Amino acid sequence: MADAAHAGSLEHEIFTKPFKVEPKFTYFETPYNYHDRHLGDDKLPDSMKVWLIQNTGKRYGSVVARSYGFTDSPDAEALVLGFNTGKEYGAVGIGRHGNFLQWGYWAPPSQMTEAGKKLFLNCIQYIHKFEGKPPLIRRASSHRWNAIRLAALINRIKDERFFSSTFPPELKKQYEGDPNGLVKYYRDDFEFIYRDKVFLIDNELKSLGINSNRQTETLERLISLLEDEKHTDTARLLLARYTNESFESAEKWQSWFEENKDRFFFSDVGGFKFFMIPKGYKENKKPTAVIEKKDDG
Amino acid sequence: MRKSTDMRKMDLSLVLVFFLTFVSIVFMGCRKNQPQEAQQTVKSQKTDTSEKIDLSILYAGLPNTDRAKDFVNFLKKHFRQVETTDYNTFRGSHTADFDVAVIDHDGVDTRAPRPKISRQYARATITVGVPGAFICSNLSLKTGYL
Repeated sequence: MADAAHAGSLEHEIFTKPFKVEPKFTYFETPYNYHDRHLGDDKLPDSMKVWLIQNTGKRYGSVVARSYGFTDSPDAEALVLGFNTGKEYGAVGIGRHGNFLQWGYWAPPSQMTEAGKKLFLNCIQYIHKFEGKPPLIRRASSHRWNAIRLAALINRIKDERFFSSTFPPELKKQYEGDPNGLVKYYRDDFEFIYRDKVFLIDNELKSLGINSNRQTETLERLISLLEDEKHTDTARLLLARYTNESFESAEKWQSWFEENKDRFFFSDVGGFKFFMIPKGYKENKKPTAVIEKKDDG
Repeated sequence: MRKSTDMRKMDLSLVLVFFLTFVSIVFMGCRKNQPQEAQQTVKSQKTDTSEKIDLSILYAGLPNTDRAKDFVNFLKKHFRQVETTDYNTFRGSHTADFDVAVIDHDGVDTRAPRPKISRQYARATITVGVPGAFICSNLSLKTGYL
């Protein structure tokens, strides 16, 4: 990543508290990597509105995090998109996950712009609100968008291990030399992608007539199917796949669901599972749970 | 003649009073009842950076480098308390008496050592640049380098 950030909404409090951040916008030519890595059907514009956070004049040195799945859990925020020449448009230059705020720009304050300095100060004040709020999930898997991104690369990455560690072996013969076909394979069943060592399509879930593996309604439907003899085994298999629970009886599954139904979220990055937002997590503005041990390493 | 001048002065005064009343009615009438959050935003927004922010900061960087001095001087201008510690010996427990930790190496080194931070660590923390992203990767955070 270089010195710039993409223009976006300035409503978030990192642009207003305590200092008002007033970026000076300009336009940069859209880098080749954005076009090359773009997964949407639309075409990106030829130039993009940006502003400088630092003023080093270098086109490298800073760092962005991948955008895919960054916001699939309520403990993470993509705060500023970094203008970069290595990853996709949308990659995160400044982001928060739990109590950590990663400032992807490398320059010290004397090389930051005035707007950059104020943003840095605001970020310090902002992250203080998340004292005592560690991440709810950890990175355990790639997001499903990566199945499509990587499928498009099968002709470019020649290392045999790439295919075998990313896609199931039965797809090798079918799609060898056909990245578009493999992309379509995953696009067509996007809502059924999950990862178990490699990216798979959940045909068991499809067979039940359920249309996504990441909606809370799916969880509810699977629990209700536990009492349908024809589908009990499949429902139990899928509940094990998509949750970290292992209740014996349908009643226990049901009461667990009822008790927590407003707090579920599904995260691909967290391992293609349903997780729960802890009670009071969103409302509590003071430190909540984890108190650091003195001997934390 | 004098009477006429006095009358004119009175008229002018009346016009002025009416004008000011009109302006204040219009001004007050146009004001919307802002939500409390929005009012707080305006109130807490500073236009200059001279006032210090009431937070204590621990800067963990490379001691005796221009970069560390750059950061520390800047932070001291803006925060109530700023202390430093060595990045290379940083431990999560060092942050116990501070509101926010800023963990910074040199901004760019992909092979910078990664401080040992446990997964139970929950202090408010800023990580900076490439070494910061690798710290996040070690902790399996979404903000990590991939």
